[in-house]
Amino acid sequence: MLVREELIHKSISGDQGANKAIYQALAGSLFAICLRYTKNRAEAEDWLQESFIKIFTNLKNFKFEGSFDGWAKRITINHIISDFKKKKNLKNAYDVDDYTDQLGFVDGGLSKLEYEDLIRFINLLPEGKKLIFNLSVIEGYSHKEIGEMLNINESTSRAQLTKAKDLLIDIHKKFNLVHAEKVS
Amino acid sequence: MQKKYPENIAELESFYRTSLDGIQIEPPAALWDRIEASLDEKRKPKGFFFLTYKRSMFISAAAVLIAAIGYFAIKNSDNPSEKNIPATTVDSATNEKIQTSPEAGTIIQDSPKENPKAFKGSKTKEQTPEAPATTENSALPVTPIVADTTSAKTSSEITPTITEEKPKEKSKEKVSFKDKYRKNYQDSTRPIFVPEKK
Repeated sequence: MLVREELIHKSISGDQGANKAIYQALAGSLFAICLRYTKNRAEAEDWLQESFIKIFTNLKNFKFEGSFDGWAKRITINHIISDFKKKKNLKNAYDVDDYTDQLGFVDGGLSKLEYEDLIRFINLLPEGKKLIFNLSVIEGYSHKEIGEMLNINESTSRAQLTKAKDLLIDIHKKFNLVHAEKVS
Repeated sequence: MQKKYPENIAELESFYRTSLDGIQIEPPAALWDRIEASLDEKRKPKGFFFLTYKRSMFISAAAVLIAAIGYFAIKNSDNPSEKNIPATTVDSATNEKIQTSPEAGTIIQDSPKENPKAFKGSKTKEQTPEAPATTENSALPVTPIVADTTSAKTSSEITPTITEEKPKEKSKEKVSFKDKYRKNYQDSTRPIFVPEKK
């Protein structure tokens, strides 16, 4: 959803109603982003909350040059990355919380089940690979940009991405096999 | 057997991108309240009474500074009165005589006491000529005193009344340290004038 300039100006001038309107316009897509980076729903909510606080407090720095949605998305992703860097516990996670049961599914071409599957698959990846897969494949950042964001070499980013893809293919194969057995 | 998810890398990337792009997930309703509350908290600090760490440090530093300035201001306000008098009254040889003879000393000293505004200006001019007289103690001080008494008889009429009142006040109520100190100090100036009456 597009956020109009008017709304941003109102929000800068301290209009609470405008704040809420901006939140409602962006919350769905930003929450979806947050959920791609963690299998812990509470953590995703925290990220979303902190990202929105950053968005509102830095609203006066928005220069009305690019799209506001893209600017807000970048703030969210940067916040997630900085949180990753803080924790640095990039543990191999192959178990997934069943947070998807609690999700309210709003929009998208996928069915709820398919969406849940994909998010579950992504979250099966180790943290570092998950981060790079999301940034590269879904968010569309180049390896150069990812290298700058994460303070790693471009080649490292590329290598991690191919490993992430391999892992996902492996996961898909296993899932398809199990699903096929259930169907048959 | 129906293949559900892509099993080769060529399909994988586009599959995920198209599938997940533009998806929106509704966050819990309570989240906005949390955001609003924390935004309010961030706005409150701008209020006057909110103390951040920096502000508290600034205020405490300012308080120390003001206290220091106040201390020195008071100290300096005391000093000039002390300094002004001692410049003229350096002689301390005959302290005892001063106390015994209040009448003579008062006449000359009263002129600075009565008009304190003129006191500061007059000190530098009038007192400096007296200062050499004080160094010789007994003989020389007579001449300036005589000049004062003759020139201003009106002042002599006024001043004795004041001098008589003051010792009474001393005995009655004026107990504060500053007053005692000043009066004793002023008394110490009297020896200059005592010999004049003879």
